[in-house]
Amino acid sequence: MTVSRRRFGRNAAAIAALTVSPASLMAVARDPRGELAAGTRPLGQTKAEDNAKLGISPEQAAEVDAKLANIIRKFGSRLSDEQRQHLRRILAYNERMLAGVRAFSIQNGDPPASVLRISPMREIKPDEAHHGGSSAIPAAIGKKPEGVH
Amino acid sequence: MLLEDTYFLSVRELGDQIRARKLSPVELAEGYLERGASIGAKLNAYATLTRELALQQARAAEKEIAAGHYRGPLHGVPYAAKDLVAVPGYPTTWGARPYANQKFDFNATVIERLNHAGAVLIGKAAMIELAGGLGYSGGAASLSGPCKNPWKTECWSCGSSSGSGAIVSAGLAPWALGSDTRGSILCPTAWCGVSGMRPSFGRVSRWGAMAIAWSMDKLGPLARTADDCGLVLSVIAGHDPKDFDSLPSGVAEFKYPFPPRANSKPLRIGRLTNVWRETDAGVESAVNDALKVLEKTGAKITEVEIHDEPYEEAAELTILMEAASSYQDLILSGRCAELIDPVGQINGYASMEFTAADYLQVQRVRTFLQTQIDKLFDDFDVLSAAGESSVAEKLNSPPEEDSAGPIERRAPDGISSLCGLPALSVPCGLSKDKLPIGIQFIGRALNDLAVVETARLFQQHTEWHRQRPPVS
Repeated sequence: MTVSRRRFGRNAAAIAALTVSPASLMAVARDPRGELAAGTRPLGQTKAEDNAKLGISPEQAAEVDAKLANIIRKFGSRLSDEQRQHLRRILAYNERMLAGVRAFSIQNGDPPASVLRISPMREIKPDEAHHGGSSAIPAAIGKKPEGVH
Repeated sequence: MLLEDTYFLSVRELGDQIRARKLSPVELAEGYLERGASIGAKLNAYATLTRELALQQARAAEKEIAAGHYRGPLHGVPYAAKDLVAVPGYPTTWGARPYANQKFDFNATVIERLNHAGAVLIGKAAMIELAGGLGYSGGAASLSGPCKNPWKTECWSCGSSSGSGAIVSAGLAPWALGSDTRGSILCPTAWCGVSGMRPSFGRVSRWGAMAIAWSMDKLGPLARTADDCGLVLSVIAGHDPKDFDSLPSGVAEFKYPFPPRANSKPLRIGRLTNVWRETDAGVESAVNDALKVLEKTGAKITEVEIHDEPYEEAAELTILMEAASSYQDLILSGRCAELIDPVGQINGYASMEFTAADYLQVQRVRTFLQTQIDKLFDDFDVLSAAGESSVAEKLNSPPEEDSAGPIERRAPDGISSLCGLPALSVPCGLSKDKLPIGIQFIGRALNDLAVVETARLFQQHTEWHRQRPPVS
């Protein structure tokens, strides 16, 4: 089956329901200092197996655990143990998605698909375009004033 | 008392009858309201029926048409709107408990446009909470309860425009407005056996509609035919200075020729062969049969593969990152805990951990992916694939443990949503369990007409769109 936005949600929920609570994860997740390096964990083998199941490398697991620690630092009082496990799964999946994007080769000048529109809330009137001296403004909003080619 | 067949007429057919004064808008609205209260309630298809408004609009339409003031093909024709667009006087719940009592005192731009066209709002369609903006696990994640599929009520109608799909399928309105950030129109369209369209990004104003991800959200119609999708789009499309991403005047409008133009050149269709990793039995053969129908009309079908690039990742990450901002208040306040779905309750916390650099990296990669996909349209008028990889799933389907499996990088919804491309899905078969199968056509950005015309051509030669579900 596919892993899409909708299905991912399902999967994450399923995993939360299916996973046997690993004591190690809960202990680590509660660590307020965020000391989460894999080597410091009890039951390290279980952790490695968990990471393998999630398809993340030790480096990715470290990033996941750092993020989880930060979430728990900020919002831990709201989260049950089951939700902490669930969050780790979600973070691991996010990490896998990020890896695909980070690996994509781009250069310094390659721009993002986001732009600043300098006059977003109104149409530019032809007079303004002429007197403002910039044909880029109406072009940017696609309104071609009369006399501007 | 209207015949049941009337409720399954297309928008165009209803409009023609209303214009000719063979059909009363008031009688039609009353009939749909009655069906909404009975069949709609069984399916959990409506969040709210807007009875008073509907009858008021229907009476006004009847009076105007009788006086010779005909506004156009939607005049007096009922519709439903997903419960994420603002309509004064009624709740706009976004399908979510934290907003159960939310009301706005203005109309969304799309509703304003429909009011000007004389359309009749029957009700607010049920939806997945926050349109899945913070993630969800399945059909139960809705303030209105799980929306049942009219073809088989133990199955889901799919999300997040769940109600919109079920409403059209069961003949509770001739068309319904949906929203699509990544597949939320196309999936209910395919699973409910109707025709549904995600327009090009920026064509339909989203002002007054709930935001998930500003750079990906679109509004579009689910209807009985591709022709109806084109017809409705011609009314709701247009520049709106209040929507930051609205296409400019002269570009946003959708000019829809009817009767269809004669094609001077054969239609070029690219059959996407590697976008789904796995499909249900019968899905691929139904799509192939559908393409054979088009081939007989003179279309040229060519198999094409999408490069292995991170389309899905970029689409998903964009949504997660932008949703973390659009729902920041809900996340920081902890009120996300009030959501029904266990994913929605916590997913925002994970998304808050993305960095600005991550976001910009995704958006920089996105420009490359857009360019790459756009090049395909030098050779093809439309691309085609199954509307969904599976038929409707059961509402109580056991969850699958596969989040460690390969990410489906080339899922067509991810690609076309990420790149703002128009797509339209129409029914093209039934599974052995009598569940609908859809075929989708994807067009170059702004070439919405190509997808409408291709799907319309298919429907001129087939009857799948005339099939009705048992619950109707």
